[in-house]
Amino acid sequence: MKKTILVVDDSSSLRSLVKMSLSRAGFDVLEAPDGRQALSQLDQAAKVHLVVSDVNMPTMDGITFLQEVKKHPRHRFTPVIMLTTEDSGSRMAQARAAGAKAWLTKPFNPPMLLDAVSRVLPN
Amino acid sequence: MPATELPQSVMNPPHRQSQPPAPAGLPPRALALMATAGSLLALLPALQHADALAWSAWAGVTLAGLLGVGVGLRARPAQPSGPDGGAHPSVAATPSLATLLGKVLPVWRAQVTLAREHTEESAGTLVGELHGLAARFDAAGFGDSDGGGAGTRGRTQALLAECEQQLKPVVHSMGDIAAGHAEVVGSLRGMMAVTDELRGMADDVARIAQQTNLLALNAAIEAARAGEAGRGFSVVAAEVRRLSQDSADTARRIAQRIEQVTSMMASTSSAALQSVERDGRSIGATGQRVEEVLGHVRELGQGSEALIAHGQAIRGSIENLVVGLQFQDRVSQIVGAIEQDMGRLLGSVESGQALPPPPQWLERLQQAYTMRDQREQHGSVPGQPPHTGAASAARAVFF
Repeated sequence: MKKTILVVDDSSSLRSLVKMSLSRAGFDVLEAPDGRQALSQLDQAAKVHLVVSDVNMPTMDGITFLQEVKKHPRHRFTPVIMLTTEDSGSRMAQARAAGAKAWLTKPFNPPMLLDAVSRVLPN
Repeated sequence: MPATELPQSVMNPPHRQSQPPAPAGLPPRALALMATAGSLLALLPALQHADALAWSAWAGVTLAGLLGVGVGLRARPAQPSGPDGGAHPSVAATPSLATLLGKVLPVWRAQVTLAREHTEESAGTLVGELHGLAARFDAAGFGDSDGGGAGTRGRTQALLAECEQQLKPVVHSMGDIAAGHAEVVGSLRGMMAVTDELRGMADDVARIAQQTNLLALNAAIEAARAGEAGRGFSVVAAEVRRLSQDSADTARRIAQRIEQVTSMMASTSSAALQSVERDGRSIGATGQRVEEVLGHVRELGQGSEALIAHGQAIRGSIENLVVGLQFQDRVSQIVGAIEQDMGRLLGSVESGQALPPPPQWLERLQQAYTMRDQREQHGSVPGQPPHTGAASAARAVFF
């Protein structure tokens, strides 16, 4: 059975690139342009195995979204990978404290992303 | 001051190449504007990857406007520093500049937003094309869509290798069949040699029977001469003679059987020899065909390897394109910080609040940066060429 990954990024082209990389590797991909809509997707989706989220986004940023995911009744154990241009150590520390599994900096390359996904995704 | 009353240098800004260096005595707000221009210039290296023509045109217009403001400010007579005589004059003290900024900044922001939207739209189109290309690539069997397993081309190569492995024993088996036939013929020849020996032994038996018969005949003659005393011996001689005749009959029958067997074996051997020759020719021809097929299989395997090599090269190119096409996200981060700063400047102008010192303004601008490139560019020496280093290297940190 294919596993489902939710990709959250305010850049539609970046979302498309992540989706292309993941779908070619056999994953189903859901998309959301910000944290608020991503939470809505999590409420509606039957099963999401992994979340890949940007940090700097309008409406709801990635760190806030991550904190909300960790309070979500059904998805608090869903692993979250942060994928961002942000290289601030303090933001990375915030993400780590909030329960992120990995911090990837853009521009990502597909093998690096897939390696991180395979390491973080539960069997 | 209305736009129609602007100095000539503002209405017709000088060409960038003829722009004189910024004077040291510019007021702080002019320095802040020039810093904003410097930040806009910082976009130029990022635009190497973008729609360079459109972005360069936008940057040129923006730069010309900024430089025009700088020149206009320089041409103005010196203004008092402010009501308190300090170094932080309010924009309200120079209504002409406030009016200019109030009108120009929204236009700049709109232009920047337009450029960002164009970039995003173009990047989206490129990503869509790449997606389609990758899908066709995968459909052609070159992709690695199962996430690490062998692709179709790899499976083809494995099948060809399996064909070669299975065909090789066929050639060997045919050789074994030919060798088996030769062995049968050899056995037949050995049996014919044995029957020749048997024929000689039958002749020996017949000769012994004949000699025994003569001996029994002589014994009967001698028994007759002995008269009544040799009567018993005459009976024995007659029995010996009868046995010798039986032996002679048996030897004759054995010889007949041997002749029959020899004849049958000769015809069998002849048929076997013909069969071996015929099968040998067939096996040789079949083996040659199998070798030819094996050659084709090997050629296909080599072709498949070339296809796999091409596929890997294309896959690498697609991955590089995925990295390259993320320029839009980076440009958007850079432009977003500038848009935000323009909004802040516009807010200050519209509210008439006192502007903070340039270092404080720049510090706040720097807080909006997300990428190392932005911070490095921000900290570069004014007047130096823009930072053109590659984007920050991708890295992964696991918690």
